[in-house]
Amino acid sequence: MKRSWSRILALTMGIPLLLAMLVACGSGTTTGTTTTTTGSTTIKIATDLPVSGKDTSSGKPAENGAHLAVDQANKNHTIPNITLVFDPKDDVGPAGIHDPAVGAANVTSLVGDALVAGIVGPFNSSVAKAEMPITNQAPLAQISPANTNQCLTKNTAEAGCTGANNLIPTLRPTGKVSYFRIATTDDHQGPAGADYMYKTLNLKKVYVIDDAETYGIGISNAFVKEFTADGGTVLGHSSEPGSTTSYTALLTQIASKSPEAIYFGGLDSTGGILVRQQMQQVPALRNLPLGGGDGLVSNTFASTIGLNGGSTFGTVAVVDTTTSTSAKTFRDQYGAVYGAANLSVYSASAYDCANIIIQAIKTALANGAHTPQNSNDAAGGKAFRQAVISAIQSISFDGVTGHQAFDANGDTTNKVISIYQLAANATGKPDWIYKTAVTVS
Amino acid sequence: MSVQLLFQILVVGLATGAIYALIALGYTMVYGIIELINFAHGDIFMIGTLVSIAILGLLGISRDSHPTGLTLVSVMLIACLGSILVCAVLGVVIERVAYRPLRNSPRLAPLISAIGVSLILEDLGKLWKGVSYISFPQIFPQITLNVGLVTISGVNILVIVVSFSLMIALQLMVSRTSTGRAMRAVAQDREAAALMGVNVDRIIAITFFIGAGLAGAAGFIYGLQYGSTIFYIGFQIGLIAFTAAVFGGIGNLVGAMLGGVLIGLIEALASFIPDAYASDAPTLFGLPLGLPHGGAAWHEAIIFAILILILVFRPSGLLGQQAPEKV
Repeated sequence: MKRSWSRILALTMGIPLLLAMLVACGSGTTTGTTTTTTGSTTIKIATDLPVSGKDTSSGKPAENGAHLAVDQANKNHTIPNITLVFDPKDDVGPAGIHDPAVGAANVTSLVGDALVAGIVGPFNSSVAKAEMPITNQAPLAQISPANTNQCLTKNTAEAGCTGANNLIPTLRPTGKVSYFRIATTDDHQGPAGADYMYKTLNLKKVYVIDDAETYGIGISNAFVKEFTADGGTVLGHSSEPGSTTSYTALLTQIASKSPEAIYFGGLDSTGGILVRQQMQQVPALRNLPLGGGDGLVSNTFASTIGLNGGSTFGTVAVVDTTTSTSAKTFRDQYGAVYGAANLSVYSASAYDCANIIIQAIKTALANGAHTPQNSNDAAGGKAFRQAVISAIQSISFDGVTGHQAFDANGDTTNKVISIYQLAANATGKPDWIYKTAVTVS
Repeated sequence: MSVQLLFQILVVGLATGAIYALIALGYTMVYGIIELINFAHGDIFMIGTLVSIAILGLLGISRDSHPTGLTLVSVMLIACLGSILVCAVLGVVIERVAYRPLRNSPRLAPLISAIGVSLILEDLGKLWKGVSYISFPQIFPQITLNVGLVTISGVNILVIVVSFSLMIALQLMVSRTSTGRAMRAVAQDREAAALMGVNVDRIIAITFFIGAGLAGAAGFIYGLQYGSTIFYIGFQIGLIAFTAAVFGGIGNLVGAMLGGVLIGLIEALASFIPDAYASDAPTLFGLPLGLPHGGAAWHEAIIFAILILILVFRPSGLLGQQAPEKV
């Protein structure tokens, strides 16, 4: 008993102490600069990304991209008389992966610092669900380089976001948009896959299999709708639970309908790998193409399947900037600071997100907004942040990922789906190689 | 439904069923001799798939290797025999460590012990090869056999031939050799067999050796047929194989083979049930015939529906005999 009391005592004393230290650290960078009453000449741009543990390879290249944008803006004096401070946060939790609770704590602390004008992030849709209610109430602008869950911004039946999937009342409690993203949403993957298979690959007859789960059924139904609208024939659509081990009988049946390709809606682990492999046991399907969504585009799929059998295609809801010529300048600038090996498709996305916030700050100031006095100037911060959000909503920005503008939900109007094909990479290993981009109308 | 398609589906069903039958034999042999449902058996099969991959790796065979001729035959023999041996020894060790000390305990004790061993094996598989699917080298050439109008994948024929050879060998061994006779004696009455000079412990160990060895062989040919494995595959396949053993009459060897093959065939034939949602679904009095998304998605439900029907009328399975009440 004695021990537990001392522990509570330690906690009651320790936690405020820790908080006090954090606050001290947060305000340390600004004290001394705010001597006039015209507002701070220092403004912070934050990131909230998973940059340690198992998620390092996902989040760190994005954080670097945003950091590069802030450094370049300071160097070029993009915003006159304002010095930007980069304020990165890590939302990796005790388990070594992104943690919604850590993300929520991060944005709560960022909301508390009036000098923070906007946040680049988060990376994961689950973290976004925890953070959006907090930043929306502040309000504080968030721009995600990577969130693809369509229900974060929409509640239409067409996107599959009604009933239990209608998250908007929770995520947008004020009813006003403060969350934006430049990643295309998942609901465009199925149609983009259909267009690519029908128009580019000239495949007219497909058979569709899904894994009987939300993601798989959703992407398959969207695929079927678009493929039929294009004029293609869907020979059939089966839902096979992810616990299925043998698809050979079904595939033999499918072979008798002579399809030109098979589309699988689901993950590598819920049938994607097994379907691709067992297609090889059915002579007529051995060299047939297989299409799917980003659930297939995994390293496990590539290493397990290798380069055997027919071609495999997958759609991913990002703009590929790792190979395109238009992004070469960015890649060179990034490589000079962080090394080309640390580049990912999300580096350019986060770079653009940070630049959108920078341009929005500039626009807000030009329109007469005032920066807050200091980190504790909550009222000044609120007014300034609102001006930044309005500027983002009406922005027109040409970035590495293309022309960015936002619709009424905060989604980008630059809806691009990248197509990847399983093929040998530069070292001869099976890998997902970028083929082309499909723009969704 | 064309005749060619029916024949192709039957071959697929037979190949799947042959693998189920090989695993079902292990369940039925162990149950027959010590009345234990060896839940770890499916996971021994999983270990067999992993051991086969490891042996092929040691022989320098990777995912994209395509050995031919004598190399192919010897590589397949070494991998298959190696998998059989490792699994057989594993089976004996499990029996010695986890089941023999509990042989005279209440019957629930070894059952729980078996579940424990199953989980341990799954975790070992996970530690060894990771949590995602791993590829099984597709060393068997992709031959397509044309029999009349029917095209059959060569690997299906290989699976069927290997499985049935092993099953026939087992049947001969149990019915013709003195060890086989001793096994049957222990199964009938352990005490009486011991009184007649049969070394019961040794016979039980041999039973585990053979049963687990068959699972090892099944692991190898499963890999050839399906091309990948994962640490939990033993649970899924094991459940179906156990069902096959009950289907055929648990404790009866021929029953287990029959049960396995029948389940494979039912699973394959279920794919003929049309999709009631499809626009071209057949109708009866204006109502669509079939099941939502077609029969293949329902194969487990169909298998168990048939199993329940059979057990209602033949509680001891297709070929099972009503065991005499033990005193």
